[in-house]
Amino acid sequence: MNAAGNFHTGGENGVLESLYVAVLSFMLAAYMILVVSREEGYDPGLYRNAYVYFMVFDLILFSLFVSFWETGGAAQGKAYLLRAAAGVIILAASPAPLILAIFLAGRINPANFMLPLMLKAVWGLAVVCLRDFLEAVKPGWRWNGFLTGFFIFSVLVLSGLLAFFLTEYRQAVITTLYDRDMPGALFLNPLLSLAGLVYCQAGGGSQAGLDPFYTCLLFWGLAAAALGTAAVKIPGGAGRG
Amino acid sequence: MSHMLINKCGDIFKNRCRALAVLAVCLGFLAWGGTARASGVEITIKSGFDGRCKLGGLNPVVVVIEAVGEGRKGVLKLKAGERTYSVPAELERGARKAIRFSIPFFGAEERIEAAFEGEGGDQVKAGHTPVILPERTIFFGVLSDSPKSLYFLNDLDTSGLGGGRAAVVELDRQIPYSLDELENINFIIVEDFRTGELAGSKARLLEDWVALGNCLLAGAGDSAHKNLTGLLAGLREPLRHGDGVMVPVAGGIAGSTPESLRDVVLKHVTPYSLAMAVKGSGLQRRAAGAAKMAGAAGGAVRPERSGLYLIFSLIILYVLAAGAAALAGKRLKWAFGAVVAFFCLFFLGLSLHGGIFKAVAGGAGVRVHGPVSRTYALTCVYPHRGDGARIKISCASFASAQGASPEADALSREVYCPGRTGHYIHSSSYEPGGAKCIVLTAGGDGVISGEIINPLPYDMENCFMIIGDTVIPVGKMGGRERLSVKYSQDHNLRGAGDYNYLDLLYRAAGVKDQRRHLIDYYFYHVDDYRPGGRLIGFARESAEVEINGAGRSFRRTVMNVFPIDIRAGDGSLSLPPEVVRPVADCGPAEEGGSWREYSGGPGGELKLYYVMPPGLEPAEIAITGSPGAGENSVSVYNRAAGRWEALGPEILAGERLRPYLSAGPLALSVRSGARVLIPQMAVKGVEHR
Repeated sequence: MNAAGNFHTGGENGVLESLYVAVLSFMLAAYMILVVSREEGYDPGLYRNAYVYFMVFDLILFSLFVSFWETGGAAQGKAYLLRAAAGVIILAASPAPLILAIFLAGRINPANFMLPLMLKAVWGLAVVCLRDFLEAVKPGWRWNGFLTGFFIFSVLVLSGLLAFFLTEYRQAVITTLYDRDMPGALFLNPLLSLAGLVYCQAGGGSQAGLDPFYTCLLFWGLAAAALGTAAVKIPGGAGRG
Repeated sequence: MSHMLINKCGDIFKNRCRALAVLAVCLGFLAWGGTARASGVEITIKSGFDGRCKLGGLNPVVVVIEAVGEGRKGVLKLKAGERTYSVPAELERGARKAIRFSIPFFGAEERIEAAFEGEGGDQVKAGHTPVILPERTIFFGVLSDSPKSLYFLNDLDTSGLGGGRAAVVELDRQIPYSLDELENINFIIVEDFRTGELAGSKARLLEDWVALGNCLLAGAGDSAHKNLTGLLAGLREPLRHGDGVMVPVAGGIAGSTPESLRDVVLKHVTPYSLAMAVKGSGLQRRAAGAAKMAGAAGGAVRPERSGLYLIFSLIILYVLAAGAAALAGKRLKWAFGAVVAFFCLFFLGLSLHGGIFKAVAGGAGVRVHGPVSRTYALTCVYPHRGDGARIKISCASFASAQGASPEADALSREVYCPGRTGHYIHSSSYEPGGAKCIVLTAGGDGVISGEIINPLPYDMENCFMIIGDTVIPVGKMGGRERLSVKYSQDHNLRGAGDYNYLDLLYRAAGVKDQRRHLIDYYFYHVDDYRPGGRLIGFARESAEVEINGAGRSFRRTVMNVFPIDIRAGDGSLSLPPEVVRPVADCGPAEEGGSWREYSGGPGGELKLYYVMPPGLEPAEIAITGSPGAGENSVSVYNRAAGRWEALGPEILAGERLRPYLSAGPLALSVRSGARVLIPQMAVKGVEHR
């Protein structure tokens, strides 16, 4: 990565972007061919499900991809956070045409897909900032990549498992994702939070309104801002470039 | 509770309590009467024809509201059984307004509750218990200046018409009814009535009613100069009009005896009219069975394959463009973002054009073509936003929604469906002035020949013909396409039971998936007794629906059923079995009978009436299904002798046939402990045209 610090340099980011869009498109086309075109009648629920599955799959794939997103490092100073944010937002927004295609194919009422995309972007930015923060603290340390990956894994998967065990332990009856019996802190997991949101949008119920979603959005927004600012402020933060 | 209180208290207090209660009730009444006056609306309800309604049919109900004091604005709500109707009503000071509803009664005990809800939230209520007669009652609708002279028809012996009681109803001389309301009337009697003074539209209504297949009797006696005017002018002989008939009764009707009039009715009764008398209008049966079309209606909503392909190709384009932009290098830094933004806008524009911000609808239906075509359709609507939708289907005469208690607006014929999920609305409609009948020639060697035509201006798919017990696949027919047919009957449907029969049809016609349900619906739920063959094909047509006030056109898959008349090549006609379809009467409970089979169990009796096609003089009749064999006992009604006679496997021919057919349809009675196929008959005869 060159020191000019462009958020977008054609190289690795280009590969990420094109691969990301291609994988999502493939997944959508597969759903359309395998599920939708085999159905006999018309069931709008099928397309709402497509939206839910697509968004969840998208977040998982995005978390994987975004940890490799080149930002140019925190060394570029004040412009760093802005540039990183712009790049991550564009990557996060790139499935938007595909989501619209789901609505178009199913002729269903469009859900407000900007909300989940915002959460995705904020979460992605937090991941990128964490990685660059680690890089600024200890440049070139071989555990940096591992720590970032483990962080994503623990937030997305381990907390999800924790939620599962907790509800089993309490013998709670979970009727919907945003359930009162789920500890609120678990909704800091963006996967749970996003799934709950799109489930609501697709006609499922919610017992807590959209509060868990906004809490999650705010939390990761603040986390990203804090990590990013910290990375820039660290003296001698050399970045990865 | 009050009892406990009273027991606890002493006698004196008990008396006081009573006095208080009486006072409270009196005050309540006063208060109630007071609000009714303050609301200032009076409601009167009248129902049915001459005060009588028919179960399972659409009955006219007139609600008269009158503003006693100042002008009023509000909604008139009518509740009959589980159905609710509402009409916005505005009354000037002292004005009277009569609002007509067309209401089906599905229970003999149903009550009508009307309520006028003013804008202030106040309510005036009125109730009415209609006289609902059983579905098999035979209504003689009387158009006459002296209807009392026709009351003798109440004593008519109806055993040849299903045995329902006869009831004389005086029709309003203005005929303010719709065609489906008139369907409740089995026979219309015109006597001592100035037919020529009927308004043009009303005369046409009567003609359409006859053309549907009904029977109108007009007195040609003393009052002939009054009766036989207008649309009945010059009626000397029984006149076929459409599928029905108009019969002049020599000597007048008022002067006839019940016996002589019964003979006239039996002699001229049409299969349609007979089926209406024996089985009722079948409105409820059709509405209940309409759920069978749900798959086909939903299938019409389904995005088209070509639309999906378009979206696929756009996705591929997007992947390519995004990939190219992403890998373009330093010069095009913002290219990826720009591609994403461009495709977002493009898809958004496409979805605005493609209508994802609008309600979605689709439908399926069965249309029986004839002099008056009947369409039974199911429309499926997914409203875009909001809870519930007001849905109005164009040219529907009867609409009912399936599922959660819908509300119908009687005047605009809108149906209100609560909730956001898919709504299914069943509707039926009549369209007079149908397509011309297709005519095929039956040769003595069993070869059917002639020319068939697709009368529609658009394509029909999966076409097939049913001539008696032979199904002939035709395939796809273009709009107005003519095809020469020469087909030797192979009786490939002979002896097939209910399921087997449909399966044979599906395979012969190559019909798949939801279209099969339409065939199923037609055979099981639609009464179509016209003698002759059928040409059946599927077409997609565009229909209109109004959802929450906004018009929307949608696709509808319609199974078209065209009648085929079978004529003789050389004067002597040989009709295969099932061309003349029997009207089956399995008793008032309609138990054990289906469309091709009967399993009445011990004690059950199935009566079958075979109405000969007009112009055919039968010389030989062979009954299929070996009557008299095994446990079945089949008897035939000897009309000349007035008794039932056992029928063996022999063929009825020549002079032997006469007593059975001389004065009405051929009637068979089947008693069987086991399941039997309904006997069909092959007719040979001479044609008089």
